[in-house]
Amino acid sequence: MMVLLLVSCTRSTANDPIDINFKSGTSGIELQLLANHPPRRIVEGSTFNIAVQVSNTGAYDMGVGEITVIGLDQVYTPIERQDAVIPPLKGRSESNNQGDFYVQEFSGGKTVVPPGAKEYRAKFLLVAAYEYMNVVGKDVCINPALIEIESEQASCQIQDRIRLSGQGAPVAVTQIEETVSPVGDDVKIDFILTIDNRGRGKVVSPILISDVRLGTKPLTCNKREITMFELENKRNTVVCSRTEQRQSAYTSPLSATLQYMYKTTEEGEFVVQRSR
Amino acid sequence: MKKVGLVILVGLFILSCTPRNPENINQVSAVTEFVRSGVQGVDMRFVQNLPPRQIYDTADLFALLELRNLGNYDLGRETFQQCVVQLGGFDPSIIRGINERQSCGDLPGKSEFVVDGGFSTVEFASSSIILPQDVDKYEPPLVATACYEYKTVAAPQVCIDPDFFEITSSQRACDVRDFGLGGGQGGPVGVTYVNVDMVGSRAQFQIEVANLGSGRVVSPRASITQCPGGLRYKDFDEVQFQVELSGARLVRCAPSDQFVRLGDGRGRFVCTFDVGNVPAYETPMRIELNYNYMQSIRTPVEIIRTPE
Repeated sequence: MMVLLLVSCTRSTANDPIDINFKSGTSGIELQLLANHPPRRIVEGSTFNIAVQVSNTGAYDMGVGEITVIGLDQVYTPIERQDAVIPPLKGRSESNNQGDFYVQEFSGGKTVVPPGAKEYRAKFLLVAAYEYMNVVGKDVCINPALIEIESEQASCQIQDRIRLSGQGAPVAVTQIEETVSPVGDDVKIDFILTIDNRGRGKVVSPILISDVRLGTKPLTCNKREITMFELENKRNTVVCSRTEQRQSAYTSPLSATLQYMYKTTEEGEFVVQRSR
Repeated sequence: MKKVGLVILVGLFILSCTPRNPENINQVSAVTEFVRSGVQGVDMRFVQNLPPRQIYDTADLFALLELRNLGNYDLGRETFQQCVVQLGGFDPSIIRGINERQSCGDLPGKSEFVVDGGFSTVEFASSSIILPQDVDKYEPPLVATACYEYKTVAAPQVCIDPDFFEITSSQRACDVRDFGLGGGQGGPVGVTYVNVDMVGSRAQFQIEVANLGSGRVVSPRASITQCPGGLRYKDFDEVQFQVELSGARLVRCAPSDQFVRLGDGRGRFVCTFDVGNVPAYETPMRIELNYNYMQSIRTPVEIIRTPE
């Protein structure tokens, strides 16, 4: 009881740094149909309206994007414009902890039920294709001395394999493997980054890998992109290296930027009922 | 009346000049025993909240380290003695401008006059923290590593009995027996056991030493300037020894180069002395261990990018 009381009385001061990790999770641009837009049933001859909330629930600002409605028969459920540009949407951050969102509407014309049918079930897909990115930043242990000493004496212990969850975007660096090998008087440090699609959509472009750094020092990578074919066939790794002089172990952030086009979809349907 | 006063004064004077009583002698002996025991060398700790647990990248980083020599060997008083503290664990391209390697300063060991050991402070400061682009948080451990030359001297009393005179045990001055030494001798490496064997006029001592502290033993052949980052595996776990037995001649020691390797923190060497044809007697044996020692402490620090 006393502990609870003490904990409840603990107050952070204005000078305490804000420590909320927005760069987590695997979502990016999310689509959500608004209720009753369109209604589940409409009567033949009436018009319809599709309204979808487009939210950037990832941690990065969205670049170029487009949303398209596909699957509607223009004869029975005509629609004025099938696509629209998604305006720039900022991702989640300290000053915007939900991320930007807006509502996109698609106006439909007069509906028709095919001859001989009692009703027409109109199924459609909303597809958002957008440019997105993410930055992985993970503190790693560098031990250029190649000497393993007891944990209480060492600055840090190298983890052969670090598994990661998402970095606030649908594509994520899911694993970092580290190897250190001697090269003359120096040591070569290799990082094998595994990149996966952890979102609910699909990667529709090569994943460009850039700005791979250890602290402020650049690393050299064996490739600059992972193609869609490589991603689907689990050849989804990139090896980045750096040669360092032998010195004491230290901790440094490994960071890399991934850029790609991503596609996410949302299904919807409504029924056009013949009028009597 | 004046005579009485004079007598009282003289009495007081005589009392003040009386030598220390046995109780005081015991106290002095206890202090001496205290300062020559223990298994610590240099004790380090970060001053509370220096460094703070969390700071913004625009703030200055300041760490203050307290050092205390809890062993029985003076550091820093002679120019050839070396004791350095290195702050590491962080990426110097991010936390910049720190004077990473500093001398421990003057650190006298425990003595009858400085019972708690010498004390000094070392400060590390950086006013330039540069988080890499896209890195919002950096959590390195700040690791302070002290590397220092040290010496432990053990002086156990040993019984020498060549057994030439074959008198009954009750007539002997002492009985030859093996014995253990607990509690250390005022340094992180200490003598733990002495095994005595008499072979005619020769006394053979098997001496066990161990790393009793929390750090790592570094060979005295390795230079402190290489510690900690430049050390190789061969530089660890080696102690130099010297053994003297009063009134006896050293015949040989094994290992003959007088460097003993520690395996699992323990090592053993053997020294043989020629004691001659003498009746049993007890004498102090001086065992000197020279080594370098390395130990670390750590504290976490979290550097957070200042929100824009």
